[in-house]
Amino acid sequence: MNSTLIVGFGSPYGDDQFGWLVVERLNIALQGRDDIRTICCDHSGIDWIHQYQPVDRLIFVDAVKSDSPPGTPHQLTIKTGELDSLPTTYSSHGIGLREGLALATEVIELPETIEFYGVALAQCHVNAAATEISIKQVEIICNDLLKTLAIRL
Amino acid sequence: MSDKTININVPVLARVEGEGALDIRIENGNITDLKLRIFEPPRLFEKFLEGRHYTEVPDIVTRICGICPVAYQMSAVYAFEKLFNTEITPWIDAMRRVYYCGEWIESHTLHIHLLALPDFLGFTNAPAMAKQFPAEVRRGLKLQGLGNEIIKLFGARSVNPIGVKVGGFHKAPEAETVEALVDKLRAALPDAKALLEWLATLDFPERSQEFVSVSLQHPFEYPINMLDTTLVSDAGHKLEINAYEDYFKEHQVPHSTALHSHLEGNPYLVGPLARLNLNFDQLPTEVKGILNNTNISFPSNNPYHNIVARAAEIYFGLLESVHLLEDYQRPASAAVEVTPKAGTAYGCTEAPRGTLWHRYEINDDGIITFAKLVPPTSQNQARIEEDLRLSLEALGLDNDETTLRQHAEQVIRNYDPCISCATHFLDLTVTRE
Repeated sequence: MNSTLIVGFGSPYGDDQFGWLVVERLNIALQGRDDIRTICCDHSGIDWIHQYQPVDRLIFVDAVKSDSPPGTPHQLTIKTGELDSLPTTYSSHGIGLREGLALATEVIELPETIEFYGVALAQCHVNAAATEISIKQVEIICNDLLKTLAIRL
Repeated sequence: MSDKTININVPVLARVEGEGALDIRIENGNITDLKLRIFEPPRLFEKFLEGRHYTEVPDIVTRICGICPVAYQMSAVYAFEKLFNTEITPWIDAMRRVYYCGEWIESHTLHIHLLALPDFLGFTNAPAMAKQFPAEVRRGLKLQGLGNEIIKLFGARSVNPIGVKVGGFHKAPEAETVEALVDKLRAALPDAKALLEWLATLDFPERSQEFVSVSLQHPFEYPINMLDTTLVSDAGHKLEINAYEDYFKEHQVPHSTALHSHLEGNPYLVGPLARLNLNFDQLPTEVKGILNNTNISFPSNNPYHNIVARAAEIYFGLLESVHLLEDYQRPASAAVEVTPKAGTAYGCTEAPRGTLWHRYEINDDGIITFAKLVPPTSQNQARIEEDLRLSLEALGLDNDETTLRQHAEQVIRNYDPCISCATHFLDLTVTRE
């Protein structure tokens, strides 16, 4: 049986909750699916590596900063073998997903490709709820993911 | 000896916290100018605190740093509790010690494995090192994760935690949660031991330098928190926390947005090596035993031994956490009552990078009217410049610029400077004439 790990990155602040909200929604739909594991991580650098067990499919979900309007979905798939080419800067205060992935390729067994799902955030203010446009994308991305996981809400 | 003038500019220093630069001018074989430039804009946290109620301070200062938020919280709460004559329970003091150990483990493992160790093993960065040492890097990440778990246990999250209040904690962890974590911590003790044994046998360059070490000292414990501590140096100082400003003076230098700090006019060292130099006897037998079986003798005046001191404090942090948590009893209350009063509050604890001193002025309404926070990197900045000059001269100024630049970066990284905290990354410029 193929195994999948879905990692939701985020924080309690505004639209930065996006990754966590997607995982929360998926957890309801994926009950009983032993082949799919979900985790939420505080920040995207290396925390997920501690909880990683080798899987066939690895999916990251996070809010993203981009030049696109808030709520714009972003999706990309990258070959693990190409991770070395990602630009990295090392500072223990600034270990982002790129740096974490560059390290992960050397210390854990990753699948051949890694999938990223994101949405452009509007705000990530302290004590703020996620915006409606972001919450709408939670539903859309959950549905897309569940289709690829051969399950429907 | 070269009679030309060389300018070495490092426009971006990699693998340090924040953004800075290094300019060195070498004239006729002598360093005539050396500046560790910190150009990150001031972050103004002290001003943000003015006008805030003392109860808000732990949740504000936790935002100063993503790596050492516990330190900022601890220096603040101990300051207020001392001013308010608040007697915290032994449980609170012990659990804050565990909470702080979590931060030491998390911060030290990150610095060793991602920033400093590639220099010692001849790699350009951590992934390159991990190709040859995957098991060692995995072990480091595992220890770092455990540090985060300890912080999360008391702080609700590992980054910018929020579980601390003046008078104690907002909530005591459940006994079952602690029990499960203690099992993991105990199981990781051999990892921390192996890390220390490995690093203590690295081939370190011989660098004997004269410097003054400064740290808190406690009569019975390795220093972390403030209760019953004094501020000591190996130059004979033994000071009450509130006497700090009588001896330590901060001053502005044109090339840095972080203040330089001197002890009676001279640079000094804070951090893991300074703590170990001054408090070696307070380490657990297990840690001392390993260190006594190496070629390094403490106190050490070789700054490169900082990485060994960090590994020793990781092993200590795990041992101490297991010791303090293994008979954990959940108390009825995680905090004591606090009765505020106006006055001056002084706080000082041992952040991963060194002594972190706070002073607050508070009015009758419990509002902060003035705040001064002196982070370890500010205190080490003058010592780093002094070390750079001595180390580059010892290396030989006739070396090519690449060699000088790499060596300078290693010297700086060895201090684990948190430029973000002190106000951020290094740009080296060497000018030779």
